[in-house]
Amino acid sequence: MGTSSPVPEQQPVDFWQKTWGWRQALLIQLTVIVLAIPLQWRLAHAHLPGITPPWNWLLPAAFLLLGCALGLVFRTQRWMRWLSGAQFAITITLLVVAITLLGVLIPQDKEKTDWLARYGLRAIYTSLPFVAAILLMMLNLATVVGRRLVGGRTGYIAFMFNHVGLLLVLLAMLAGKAQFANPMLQLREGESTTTAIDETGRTYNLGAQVTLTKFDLEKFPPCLAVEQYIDNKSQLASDAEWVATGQHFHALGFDVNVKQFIPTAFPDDKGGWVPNEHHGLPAAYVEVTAPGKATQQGWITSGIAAVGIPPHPMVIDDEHFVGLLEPQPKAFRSHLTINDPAQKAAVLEVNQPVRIGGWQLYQSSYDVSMGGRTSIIQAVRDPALPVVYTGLACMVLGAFLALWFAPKRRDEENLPAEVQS
Amino acid sequence: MTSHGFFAIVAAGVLALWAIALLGYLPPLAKRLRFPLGTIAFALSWLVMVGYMAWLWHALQRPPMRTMGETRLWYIFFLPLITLVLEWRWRTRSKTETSITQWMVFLIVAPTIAMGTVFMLITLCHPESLDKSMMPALRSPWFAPHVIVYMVAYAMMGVAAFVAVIALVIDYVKQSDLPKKLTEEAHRLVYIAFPLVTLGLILGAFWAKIAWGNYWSWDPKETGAFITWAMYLAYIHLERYTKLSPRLHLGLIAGVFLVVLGCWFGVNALPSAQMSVHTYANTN
Repeated sequence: MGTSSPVPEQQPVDFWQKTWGWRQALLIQLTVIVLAIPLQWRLAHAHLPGITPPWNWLLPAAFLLLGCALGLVFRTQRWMRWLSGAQFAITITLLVVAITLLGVLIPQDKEKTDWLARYGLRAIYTSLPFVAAILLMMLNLATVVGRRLVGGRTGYIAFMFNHVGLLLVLLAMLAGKAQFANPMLQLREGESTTTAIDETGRTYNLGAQVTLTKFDLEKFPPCLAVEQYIDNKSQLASDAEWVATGQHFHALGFDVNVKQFIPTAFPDDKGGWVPNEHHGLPAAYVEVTAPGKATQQGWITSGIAAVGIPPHPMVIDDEHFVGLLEPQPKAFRSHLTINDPAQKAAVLEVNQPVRIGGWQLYQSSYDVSMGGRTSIIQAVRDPALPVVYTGLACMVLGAFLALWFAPKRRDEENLPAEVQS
Repeated sequence: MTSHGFFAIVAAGVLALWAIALLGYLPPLAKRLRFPLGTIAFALSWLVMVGYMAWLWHALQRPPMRTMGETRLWYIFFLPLITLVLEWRWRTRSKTETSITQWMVFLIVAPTIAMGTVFMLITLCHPESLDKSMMPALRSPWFAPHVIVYMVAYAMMGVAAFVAVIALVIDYVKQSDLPKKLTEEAHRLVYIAFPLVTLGLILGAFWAKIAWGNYWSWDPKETGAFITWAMYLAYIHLERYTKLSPRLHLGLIAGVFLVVLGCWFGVNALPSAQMSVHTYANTN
């Protein structure tokens, strides 16, 4: 009598004993991020000292080097292929996207102290869950860079530029935070300072004396336009054209002749406006002809919203009026004298920063509302900038090189072994 | 005549040329014609847009890229150009004019025209006044390259998404090689557009550093740009390193483009965007 050989029963495989893939990546990443939430809540009450130089660079750099070394040494191990693999990379990218999306949906405001702030949701991009997600991304990048250090293939250069570039940018954003400073200085014409103050009230020494010798505010001419009331709000109903004496403007059937335009005018005793070099509003004497209506003449002024002076338009009919729009700033620039200790002159304006020592000065804003002219200048110190720029340059280069190598690389990587790497 | 009145005339002309192009590209008609009516009409419509954009740039005395309406015009400008290049590539690659090539061209032109028409109508319904003013932050050599690179990339991604949707529809309707070919084309477009999006993002970062002192401030619009970039990055990794089913592949190309649209237009509707340093006009 023959005996039938027993069919081996298939043992159920434990979740952790399966080949690791999407689920494990998502689960571990979510666990790390979720664990950071109570830590964030706890730290919201604590006043911990920040990481000071050089530890702000040494710690993340050591983390990355360790990741690279592990990737290199254990490159053939299954767990390393998972940790440095595409599945881990894709899930962490999507989780970073999800967190950043929260930052768009929830208005970010460090001043608020509600329950959202307690969990770091009012300053999401500096919260621990976000930092944890970025660290996981950096771990993935460091291990894959380490793993690929051996055995370069076609497209290897593009791969390295892409991944090392992003790694450098993330490293600089994380490490540079501790040394980044952007205090402000407000100077009226003739005033000097050697310090700037940030939003927490901390004072920084600029290492030089900065004097505002003169502040220039250049504006576009005010615009003439036909406006319309819609839902109790005035809206432009025509093009907005720069106003000038003798200008003829035709829009929506209305003819507007500008008899006189005064860039800075002051009211006289007779209800008119006269030129005044020092103070005043843009004013224009216009003649408006509307279809089927008598010609109207009169003054229109633009007003100044910053100091609550309303515009004075000319009403044409129940819906329309001719108005002068407030002139928009074209350029504003600070003429500075910098003593560091040699005296030098510099002109600071938007898109044209000025360097003094380790600081870069930026023309941020201005205030002319209280009489006089105050220039608002931002001083920025960002030692991580060269690392960021190097990383960004690598990323662009890598992205275009990847395009160049794309067809060859795709042929190679149709190999099944690569599919899961 | 107001600028809006002029734009209405230009838009009418472009829409009429698009209608002729659509007829000219229709394979049963294209076979009978002795000359490429569709291509000629489509190329003419692009030339009209070239003329209009040149006029607008001259009239505004600044790059017409400040407002949402102006960027929409650039999108309308680049869509036909990308499609014409694609058509040229397909026709030169296939040695003989097959009905598959004709259908491929038609199926890409039709949704491009549909999308262009939608953008054109939105611009017509939300007229923007001609305003020459340009705030100091925009007076930068980085401004025009940043916007143009982005618009070319978005136009490519848009065309890729249309191709993907068409391929999906064909795949559901009948079995043929067409969806596979269309998938390859859609993916290639995304693959070319991604470095451009990366470049646009980084040009923006360089510019932000010079203008505001910080290359990245997680402003809602910057975050929207980052989300777009990251989603395409995830797509490229998915496509390269995993086995995607053909339908999922097509669905991803189409779906990720919805993220582009959401980040481009949707972010403006959020309360957080009102505080954005990248809001340059109140009229959309």
